[in-house]
Amino acid sequence: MLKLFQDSGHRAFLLADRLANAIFGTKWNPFYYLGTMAFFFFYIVLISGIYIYIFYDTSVVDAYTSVEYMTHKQWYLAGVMRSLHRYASDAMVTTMVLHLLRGFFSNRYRGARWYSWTTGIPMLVMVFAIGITGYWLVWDKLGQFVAVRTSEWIDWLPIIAEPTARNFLTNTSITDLFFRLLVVTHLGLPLMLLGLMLLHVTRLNYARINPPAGLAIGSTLALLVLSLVKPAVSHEAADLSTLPTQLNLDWFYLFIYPLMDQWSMGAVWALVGGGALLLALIPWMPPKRREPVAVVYPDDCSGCNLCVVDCPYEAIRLEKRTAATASGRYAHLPIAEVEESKCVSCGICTGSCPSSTPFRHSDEVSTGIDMPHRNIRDLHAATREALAKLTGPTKVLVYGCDHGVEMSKVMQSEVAMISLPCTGALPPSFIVYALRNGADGVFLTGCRSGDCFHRLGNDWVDMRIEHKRKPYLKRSVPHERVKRYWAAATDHKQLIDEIESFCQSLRDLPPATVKAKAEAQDATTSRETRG
Amino acid sequence: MQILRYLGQALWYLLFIAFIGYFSTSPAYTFMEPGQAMIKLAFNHSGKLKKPCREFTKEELAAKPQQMRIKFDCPRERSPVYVVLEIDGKRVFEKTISPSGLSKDMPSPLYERIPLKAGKYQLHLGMRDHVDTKGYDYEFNGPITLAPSQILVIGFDPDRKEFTFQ
Ligand code: HEM
Repeated sequence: MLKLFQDSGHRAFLLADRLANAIFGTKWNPFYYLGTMAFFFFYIVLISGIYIYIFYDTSVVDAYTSVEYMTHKQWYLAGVMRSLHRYASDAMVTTMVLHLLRGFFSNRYRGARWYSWTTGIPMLVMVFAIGITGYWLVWDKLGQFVAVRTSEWIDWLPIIAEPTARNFLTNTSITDLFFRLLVVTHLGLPLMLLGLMLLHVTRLNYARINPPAGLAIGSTLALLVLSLVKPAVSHEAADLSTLPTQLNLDWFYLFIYPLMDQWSMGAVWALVGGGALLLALIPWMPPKRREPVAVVYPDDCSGCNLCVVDCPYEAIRLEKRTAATASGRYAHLPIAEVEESKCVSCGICTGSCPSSTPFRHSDEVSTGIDMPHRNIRDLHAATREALAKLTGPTKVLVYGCDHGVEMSKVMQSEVAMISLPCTGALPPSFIVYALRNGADGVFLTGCRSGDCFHRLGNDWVDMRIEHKRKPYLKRSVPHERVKRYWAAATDHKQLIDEIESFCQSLRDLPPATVKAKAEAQDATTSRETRG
Repeated sequence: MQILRYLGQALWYLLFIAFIGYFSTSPAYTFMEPGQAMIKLAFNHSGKLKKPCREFTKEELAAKPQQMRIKFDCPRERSPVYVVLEIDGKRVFEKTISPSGLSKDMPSPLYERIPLKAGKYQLHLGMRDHVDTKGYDYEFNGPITLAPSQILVIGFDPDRKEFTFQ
């Protein structure tokens, strides 16, 4: 049931991604930058907030008039800033919720990822609290409504002896002190939120907290246009002796208030409290599968740091060797150490390890860092087996990942397929190995570009092949024999077409010369793959 | 092709701001119809002490250590407060409110919203703040007029021992 729900949600995102990729390209697809955009909108909220605070009067009597001044007298700057403040907040909540949904549907919250997920929950609560106090501050009819209903909601809890709603009985019962406390809350919470946001991404290597320039400019311009076309305005001034009647609610932040009228206060507490608790517990709910984490092999780890910089979850660091690990030819060098609680078992470290070479006898294939349950010897054996199976006129070996197209869906007579936990776990030397041992071409696939399940796997593969990141694919490998097509689980038709066209292009190449050339240059370029 | 992409992006941003712009204020929500009014019954009233002070008996005093021999035993617990509101002869609110505090020695808090249509009403309010009282300790009977959207706050002034209307 849950799986079906998740799968449908995931498919919906993949469909939306396809459209966005067609419009923006994978580098700018806004759906790939949902958390990032939440960061960006937060910056806009902060900057515009600081500006409008200069004009804001923190007393009950003058708060409303000071906001009116901004909107009507200085509409061209303070008014625009006020509108930007409101709309960027709405955009932030939208992108944040989509970011949460995307993480949930694509199953990126279990295991070591619990940390980002769990720190996200208080952030979610805080974002709503900040938005709600913001509407309160305007002290118009909407602010009055929010103030009274919030306090009535809080008073429902049996812990509070003196009803806080009594602060809002008459226009004289609300004090400046109380109002200033609210202002401090509205200013203090964002600072705490900022701290949490930074904490939220601390366990992610190369976390994308700044969007590509194009997206940043586009979104800012869009919000500016909205601010000019539909400036944020207030309701009438608050008056505690009369009821708010019709309200233009900001549904992004205030949707729970109509629920308070429809349901009981207790039911709304159950929804909010229960919802937050349920969300917080999600990473620990079944099905629980924690795969074994990466293991370092001291004799083959040269302390080159490549796995450290490639690990998407900052799970590896370099340490001094201890007596137990100071053996082999690298005994004098530092050694990689895996922090178990952070490892997501993606195997990208094996792909980045220059010691991961298949050019040895099967029993001797080894690497500096490896996944115990799907190790490099298994990959070596699978590659050999797959190569042996290739009997068609063109022989193509496809390396894919467990999160892209299911390999059985692209079965063809001319291709053999191997699935890895992440395509980033493929050491580039395996491409050379396959080409030397019978393959006419190597085809690499995995999650769509920009949407790697393990965040960075397909980026690293691209860069290794394009000689932008170590370990490089040997320059001698003819680029027309290696093809990449990043495809989501739903893209099997496109993938089949791409593989077919790759086979076709290989048929047009003279086979022998290429392998000979590759071999001839091997010796001269082997140094490049070493850190 | 590139121009199509730019058009697509422009359309995307347009939809984005249409979505944000619309839901930031719409659809409008009617919290209360314009012809609606509301009574808020809200005060913190301390019930009388549940039991009066009494003098300790000689035996009781003798059983106490020297420094604790005070003359009177004054239990701090207060009576719950009972409040009734009738409008045009119909009982719309009735509640017994326990005193707050761990020893039940603090005021009984009351905050109740009673929505009504705007108009003229005959009000009867009664409050009893001691368990032994028969009938009411404090009472109000009289007409009130509620204007559209008006919030009438009914409180209690403990010094003048009467209900207040704001
Ligand atoms: C203020 C709101 C939020 C902001 C600004 C934010 C921002 C970010 C950013 C920038 C990343 C890194 C993305 C990357 O580089 O791969 C991230 C990752 C993540 N966020 Fe958030 N986030 C927010 C709220 C949430 C919430 C509410 C949740 C869920 C409850 C959540 C769950 C996650 C998870 C699980 C990851 C890790 C994804 C992965 O490992 O692939 N975030 N967030």
